[in-house]
Formats: sequence, structure tokens, C-alpha cells
Amino acid sequence: MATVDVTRLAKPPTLAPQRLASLRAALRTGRTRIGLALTVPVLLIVILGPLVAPHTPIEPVVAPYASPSGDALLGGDAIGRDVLSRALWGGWSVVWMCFAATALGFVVGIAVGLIAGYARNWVDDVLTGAMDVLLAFPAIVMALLFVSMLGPKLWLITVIVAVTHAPRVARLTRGVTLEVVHSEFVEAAEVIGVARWRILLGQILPNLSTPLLIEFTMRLTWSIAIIAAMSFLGYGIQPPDANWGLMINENRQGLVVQPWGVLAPIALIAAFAVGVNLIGEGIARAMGQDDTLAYRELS
Amino acid sequence: MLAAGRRRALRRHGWLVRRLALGAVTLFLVSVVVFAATQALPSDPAQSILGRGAQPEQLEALRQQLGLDRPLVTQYLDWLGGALTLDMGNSLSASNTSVADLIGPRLENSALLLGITGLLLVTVSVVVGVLCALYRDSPADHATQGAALVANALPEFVVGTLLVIMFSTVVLQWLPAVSLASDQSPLSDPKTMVLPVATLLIVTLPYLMRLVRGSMLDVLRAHYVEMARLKGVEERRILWRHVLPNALVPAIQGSAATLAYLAGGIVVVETLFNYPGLGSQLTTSMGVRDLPVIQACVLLLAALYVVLNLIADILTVVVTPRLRTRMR
Amino acid sequence: MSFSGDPDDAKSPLDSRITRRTAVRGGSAALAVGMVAATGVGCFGGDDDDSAQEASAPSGEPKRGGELVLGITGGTDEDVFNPFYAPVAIAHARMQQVFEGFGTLSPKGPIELVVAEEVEPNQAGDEWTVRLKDGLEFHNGKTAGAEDVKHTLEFALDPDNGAQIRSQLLDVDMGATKALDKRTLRIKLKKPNAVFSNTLLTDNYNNIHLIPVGFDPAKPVGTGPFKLTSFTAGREATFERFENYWETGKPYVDTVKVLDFADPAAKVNALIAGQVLAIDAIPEGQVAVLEREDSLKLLKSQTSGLRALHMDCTQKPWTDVRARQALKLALDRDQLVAQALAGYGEPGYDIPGIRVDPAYPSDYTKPRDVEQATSLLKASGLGDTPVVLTQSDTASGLLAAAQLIPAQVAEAGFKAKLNKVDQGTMYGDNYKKWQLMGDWWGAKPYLLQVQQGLLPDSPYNLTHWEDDEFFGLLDDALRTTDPDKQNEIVGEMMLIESERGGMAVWAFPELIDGYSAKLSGFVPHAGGFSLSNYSLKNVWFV
Repeated sequence: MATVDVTRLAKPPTLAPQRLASLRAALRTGRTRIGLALTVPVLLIVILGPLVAPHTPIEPVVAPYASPSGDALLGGDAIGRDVLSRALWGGWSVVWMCFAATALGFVVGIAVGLIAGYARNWVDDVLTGAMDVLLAFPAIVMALLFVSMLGPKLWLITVIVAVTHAPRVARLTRGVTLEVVHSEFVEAAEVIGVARWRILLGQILPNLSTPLLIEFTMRLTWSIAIIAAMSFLGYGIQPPDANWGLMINENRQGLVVQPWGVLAPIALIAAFAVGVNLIGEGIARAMGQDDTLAYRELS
Repeated sequence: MLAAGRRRALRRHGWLVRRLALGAVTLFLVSVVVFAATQALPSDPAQSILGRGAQPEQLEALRQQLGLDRPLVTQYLDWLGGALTLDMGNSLSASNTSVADLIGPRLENSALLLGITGLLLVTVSVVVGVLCALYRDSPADHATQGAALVANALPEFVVGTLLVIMFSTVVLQWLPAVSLASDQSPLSDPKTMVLPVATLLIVTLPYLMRLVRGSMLDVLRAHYVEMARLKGVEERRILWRHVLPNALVPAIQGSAATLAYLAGGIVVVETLFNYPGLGSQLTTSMGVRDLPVIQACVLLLAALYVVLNLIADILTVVVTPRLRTRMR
Repeated sequence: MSFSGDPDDAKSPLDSRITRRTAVRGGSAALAVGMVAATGVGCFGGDDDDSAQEASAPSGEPKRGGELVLGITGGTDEDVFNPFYAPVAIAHARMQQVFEGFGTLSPKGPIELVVAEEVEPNQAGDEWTVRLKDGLEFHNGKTAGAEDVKHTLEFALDPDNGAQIRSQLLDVDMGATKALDKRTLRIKLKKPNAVFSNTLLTDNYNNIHLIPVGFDPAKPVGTGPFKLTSFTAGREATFERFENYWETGKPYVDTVKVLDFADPAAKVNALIAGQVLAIDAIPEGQVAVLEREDSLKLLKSQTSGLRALHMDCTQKPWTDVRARQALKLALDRDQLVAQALAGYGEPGYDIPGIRVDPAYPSDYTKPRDVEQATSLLKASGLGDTPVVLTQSDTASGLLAAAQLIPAQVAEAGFKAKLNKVDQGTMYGDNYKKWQLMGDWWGAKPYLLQVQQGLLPDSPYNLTHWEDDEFFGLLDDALRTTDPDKQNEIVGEMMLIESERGGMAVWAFPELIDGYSAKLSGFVPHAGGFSLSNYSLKNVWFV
């Protein structure tokens, strides 16, 4: 049995203290600040909006496409409901679906990536192959196919979007896992008999946290794009409930007469998407990784 | 012992074969998924085609004619065979029209849209990316990067709607938002292509431009460039002979990958502008449950996506110079 | 996205499933023997009266000349120009140029004669005499006569020709049908039918179009004001003036071109840009766009088409008449017109046939009464039954109304919610089985409506309503050839259906078309079809 000189092995530095410092540094960058300035109000609107909305989202209060007035500060929508109230109510479903889809994609992706990276054998090949195949399907087209068959069920859309995230997250996780797995410390730990999962948690995950955090914000931006687009096409939360994506479609015809029905939800979606993206960019810059962002995959 | 070069070539060869095989397998899987998904529907295609007034005997006859009474695998193979020979049956809503006839012009239009967008995308992103790299940290560079940050994050239909608001309805009325008669070719009225192309460009330019810029910066910092400088080679020659060719490598792969992304992205843009392409055909067919057309559109779009990604991957390997400074 | 006006422009590309349904809606229907609707008028005579069409005093003297280009939503491919199968608005538009029927719905509503001079039954109602106008010519030069009328009926009865009206002609005894003179045909029916005139005169989408003996669908020829010069399926059709049209002096314009458009917004843009000179069925949201343009005019027609909720009387809670009444009383029709139709329309009070049927009770209203509705619902004991309103975006106002109705009826205690579906699902296997759904109907006389919607084998029996008194009266109505007596019975039937039936008519929408200020001669049309029922012979360039 080969002896391993344990003293020679340095513990790989956990990034915990470094991570926090970087996050704080990120907060100081312009990008993250602007990003937060955009995202936080949107989230507040989503969460508190229903409490302060002057009307319910389904009652008609003015003539269809009415201009802004005392009863409807942003005017009326296609049926005469209050645009402002609907904008305040309409973000919840879009936002929770985005977070849920991204989070689910991450959970699955991390799990797969860890297993593949750690196993390094045929399991790795199979999983990687499966991920590659999933990557080969164009997200929105397949999403449309499934909802056209099974109906616009919210859970279905969430799952499909999660599935589009999982492979890339898995790739990322696997990459990091592979690197860490080959380090001397891990090999030694294995020899000593430390449980695998403990190694995983103790060594690999800390190294993952930063790139994953950045990846999360990028993926979230993509979730927003695809979920809002699906809502726009009518595959999201159904009428008469308010829904930003659907509002844009419903009020498009009256754009010339009453642009607020479209502008309000667009502004909110745009602010959310851009804000999240900027936060991620800020963190990347603080971590010195913003050059690599250019080489990220597109979707 | 094979020379290193030949060994590498053989490895690439093997890789190429595997990659093509993966592509074929993916296409096959896509077709299975499309077919299976449409089988998940509870309703009866024969009923849909014949309508409400159909007699049971008529329904049965049509079912037999459509092959619905045969085992699923046979049906799948028939369908696939039909797809490959471009015979995909008739549309359910325009029942005199074959799916192929309906989709043919649409495919052309989408290809046109993608083609024009692709050309503009590559040229503009390369030019802007290179310039930004060369004039790094200039005000123009900062402005461009800032704009890219914002544009990158916006969903397509948000960009599209904003463009419509800006240029077509509320602010200015230069360009038509929608104005094509059925089956009219977009070429007959090029103005109608401006906004869709602009939307697609705004969504994809930032990514590719940053890719080019980043790659340029990397190469500019690379050892061999330093060496060339030290050796006294003039800057312009360095730029054109050494820097650009290497820097553009990721851009080539990125372009193909971006086009693949666009194959999915045109769905929303076409629907928004009512551009008569595959994407808008898909969404309108979904509205009336025209199954054969839905299947065909999804299959084509997915195939396009797969093929473009395949080209991207192949280009990556083919174009890789010996000294690549960037990992992937 | 909702569209206004002509329901058949509702969704693009048009689903010919829908449009087949439309075709039957517009007219022909499976008939129970002898049970045909009466308009209350047993026979028609007299001259074709043009004065009704002068409703909006077109400007100046008609001038000849010009090419009239129309943009119409539609685009399903039609291989053949079939005068008996025009399931879509755009096909109907084309037919209207080339062909004419014995009669049609007039702009003000009631039926009027066109190529027929007289349509009269005998006392028993089993012989109908049709006399054509004098000097009527086909595009190929042949003078129209009784043999053409006979051929028209034979053509429609031939199953290979796919005529939608065929099922309404099954009682015609062709063997015993014979010409009385050059332009008069006596049609013999196997069974008496007091209201065969409806079949001959009303169905706008499937009007019996007069065709000559030897009619060839590949080279269509009719008596209409324009001849067909070219036709590209799904794209465009062109027509030129028929110089020997029976209405001397008309048509005024030289040529007509009909262009297909897949999208209503594209149509509007094309009108603004001048690519087309007239368009049909403008969505409400676009009306404001056109109002801003000085070079364009709007044609607003208060139509007799309708929007209605249909309750399936075989499903709870609609099994109890009190629940049905509660629903009708709980509807806020004024709000629906104001919000779902953007004010373009007038409220309906559960009786169809306004303006078209002389028996329609013009002063009848049904004001909203939530209190009464609540107590009725409670009395039925079925207030807790969940109500699902199934709706697709089929015609203007339907989906919008469906978003408002659940809240309206909740005030009476209903537990209702909306289930939005796509058109394919709506008109798929479950059509006629939805617990509650919203749908539209074209303009037609009341008894024709009953025949198409309330009989056991009606093509559109959505409510499955049964009522002994009502159907007893129906029998009476069909046996009565006296128009006044018939009107009386029909009037009673209308009130009963409003009280107890399963259809809640909530509005008669207004149809809005747009045309260039260069044109004159369009008049509002109550029939529910755009651009004066696509009657372009009265249009000229100012």
C-alpha cells in the first residue's frame, strides 16, 4: 500500500470567505447596482402589486382602449379593464414560473453533472450523451409542440424550460467536478475512505458556487424570455387572469390608440430581464470572469 | 507509427463520424418525439377531417385510408417515409392543400429571413467586435458594450414590439408592421422584412459581437503575437495575417450556433410580424389544431436546428488552428 | 386577438371545419320532413326594389370605369369555383360577383327577390312556382329560362357537386317538376312545405345560384354583374364587367379584383397604403387607426347576426328551467356590448331574427335582474353545480365576453369560470356537448334558426332543449301558409324560447368595413356580410 504523506497535502482553499468578498465587490460594480435597481422594484411590484392595485384585474372599469384617466391611470385594455391593475397583478405567474423552471433545471443539472463528473466511467458517457441529445432540441419549438398536444399547463411549461437548462448546467457542473476530482486532495481522501458524498459536498460544491451563481442569472434571463414568449403566444396563465405576456398580445391591436396596454407589461418584463442579466454580469466582473461570459453558450 | 499530423487527422475523422452519427440519431429521436407527441392527442383525426356530419362507415373508411388502424410502429414508419419523400398528407384546415404545398413557400420565406439575418449578423458583429477590441476602453467601446448588455437580455418579442411601437405605429410611421397578402413573397415588398430582421439582429448581435471582441482581445495578448511584434513585424500585417484569422475562429462557430438558435427564435418574431414563414405557420396551425402541419413545421424547424448545430461543431474542429489560445 | 364583424373572418387561416359549419349555418340544414321554417311570408312577388339600398345617399352621379381592388381575410385554397359551396367569406365575395340567387337578404333585413320575379306556393304548399325576370342573360349569351332553373336544382341535388343546400332540396320531385312557360318552373315537392321559400331565397352562403344548362365549374358562368377572368386559388380573383347585365347601367366599375389576406391587421395597412380600396370586417382596435385617415371611410352596419350563450339542457344545472332563467337574468348585456364589442352592436334579449323576421317583437327587452336571478337559482337547488364556460376566439366579442360573464353571473350565485380553448378543440369532438359555451349565428328568419338549432337532427343543436308547447306551435307554424297567422305563431314561439330555452342571445354586433373615399355606393347591410354583402354592382368611383 502506497503511503501518502498527508502532511504534504494542502487543503484546497474553500472559497467561502473569498466568495462573500467577491459578492460584496460585485455589489459595488455599476452593473450589479443598476441590475438591482431594475430587478428589485419589479419583484416588489410582483409581490406587493396585488395589494395596492386600485381595481381587480378582471373587472371592466372604462371603455375598451380608453386613454388614461382618473379611473384607470394607464388607460383601459382591450376589454376596458384597468391596465395598471392588470400590470400589478400580472407578474406573479411569469416570475414564479421563471424561478421555478430555472431552479428545477439547476437541481437536475447539478445532480447529473456531479454524478457524471464523479463517476468518470460509462455512467458519465451515458449521461453526457443524454445531455447532448437534449441540447439538440430547439427549446421553444419543442415547448410549442408539447403544449399544442397536452394543453397550456403551467407545470408542463415549467418542466420543459427546466429541461432546456439542465444540460448546460450539467456540463458546467461536470467540468468543475472533473477538475476537482483529479486533485490530489480528493484522491487522498478517497484512499483514506472518506465518503464520496462528503467529498462532493465539502470540496466540489464550494468550487461550483460562483460559476453556478453567474450561470443562474444568465439562465434566469433565458427563462424569462421563453416563458414570456409562451405567455405572449397564449400558452401561459389563461384569461381572464392577468399575465404580462398575454397582455401584450391582447392589447396589440389597440397599440395606436392606447399604447400603455402594451408598454406597461413590456417595461416590466424588460426591466426584470435586463436587471437579472446585469446582476450576473456584475458578479462575473467582480469574480474576474466577465471575459469568459463572451464564450458562454448562447441559450 | 503515424505522424502526429495524421494521427490528429484520424482522430478528427473519427470524431466527425461520431458527430454525424449523433446528428442522425438526434434527428431520428426528434421525429419519434414529434410523432409520439401527436399521438398523445385523444381526438380522432378522421373525425377532424370529415367533420361533424360524418357517418360511422365514412369514418371507418377514412381511418383505414389514413392507416390509423395499423400498429403504431407501422404508422410511424409510414409517416417518416412520407416526410422524407416530402409527402406529408393534407392539411386539416385547408383540406385541398397538401402539407408540402402549404409549407414550401413558408420554408422559403423563413430561409430568406434567416439568410439575410445571418449575413448581416456575421458582417456587423465581426466589424463591430474587431473595432471594439482594437479601440478597447474607448468611449465608443464602452457605449457599445453597454448597449450590448441591455440588448442581450431582452426577450425577442419585447424587442420586436418596441420596434413596432417606435417605427411603425406610435412614434414614427415609417415602416409597415404587417402588410403582406397571403402567399405574397416578402421580396415583393422588402420593407416588410426590415423590422423582423432588425429584431432578430438586435437579439443576437450582442452575443456574437462580444465573442469576436473577446476572442480578438485574447489573441492580441497571445504569445505568438508578442513574438511577432518583438520581431518587428508591422502591426497591420500582424493584424491581418495572425490576429484576425485566429480570432475569428470562435466567431465562425458562434455564427453557426447563433443561426441554430434563430431557427427556434424566428417562431415568435414571425408570429409577431405575421411574416409568412414556418414559425408563424406553426403558431397558426396550433390555433386550429392542424396536426399534419404542426408535425411538419416542428420537424423542419428541429431539423434545421440540428443541422446548423452540426455545422457549427464541424466548423469548430475544421477551423481550429494548431495554436488555439481559448478553451471551450 | 379578436376580430370584429363577419364571423367568418374570425380566425386566419380559416379552418374549413369551421367554415363548413358556417356554410350550414348560413343556410342549408338537415331537414326533418315538413318541418321547415317560415319567414311569415308565403309568397313573393313584385319588382326588385332598389330603394332600400339607397340608405346612405351615395354622393353624386354614378360614373363608369375603374378597377376596384378588395382585400378580404381568407386564403384557404379552393380548387374549383363552386357556386354551391362557398364556406368562407372570401369565397362568398367571389360568388357574389359572378352568380345570383332567386332572392337574398336585403340591406334593411327582410328577404328580397333578385333574379326571380315571383316565387309562389299553391294552397297545399307542395307546389312552388318560380318565374324568372324577363331578359335575364348569362355571361355566355344564353337567355335564362325555366330549363336553367331546373338544371340548377338538379346540379345542387347531385351529391358529387358537394352542394351544402342539397339536404334542403331532398323533397323536390324532379320528375314532376316542369316548365309552365319559357321562364316559369313549377317545382313539385314530395311533401308540403309551407316555407320552401326560405330554401330558395335565403341562405346567403349557399344561395341557390342560378346556373345555365351545361354549367362547367372550370369555366363558371352566371347572371351576376361581373364575369370571372382569372382565379388563383388562395391568392386573388379578377372579374370584369358583364355588359349585358339585367340591371341596365350597372355595374359601374370596369373590373374587380379580390385579394386574399391572412391577417386583418395586414388588410388595414394595405387599405391605408392604397394597395386595396376596400376591406371587410375591421377589428375594433383598428377602427381608430382608420378614423384618423381622411382618405378613408368606414361602413358601419348594424347586423342581424348574433352572439349567444348556449346552455346544454341535458347537463346540470341547465336541466332546471329556473337555472336557465337565472343565467339569462344575471347577464349584463349592456356591459357586454360596451366592453366585449367596444360599443359596436346592440344588446340582444334572447330572441334571434331582429330586422329579418317580421315577427320579431321590436319593443321587447329583458333588463338585468340579479335579485330575481338569485332567487330562481336558489329555488332550483342547483346553484352549487360548477359551471364551465368553454370558449375559443371564434368571432368578435366572444372571448372578450367570456372573460366578463363569469363575474357577472357570480352575482346571482353561479360558480362559473372560463375555460379558454383553441378552435380545434371547441369545434371538435365535444362540440354540441359543452355545458356552456358562446357561439355566433348569421342572420336568418326565425324558423330557419329553429330548424338549424333546435331540432333533434339539426346540425347545430347545441342546447338539446325540449318543450312540448314550443314544438307543438312549431308544427302549427309549418302547416300555416297564411303569413299573418304564421307571424302570430312565430311571435309566440319567440317569447317561449326567450323564457324557457337554452340560448341566451346577448348582442347583435355591428359590422365595420373600410373603404377609400374614392368610392361611393356602399350601403350598410343588416345581413351580417361585409361591404353591402359584397354587392359591388352599386359601387362607383367618384
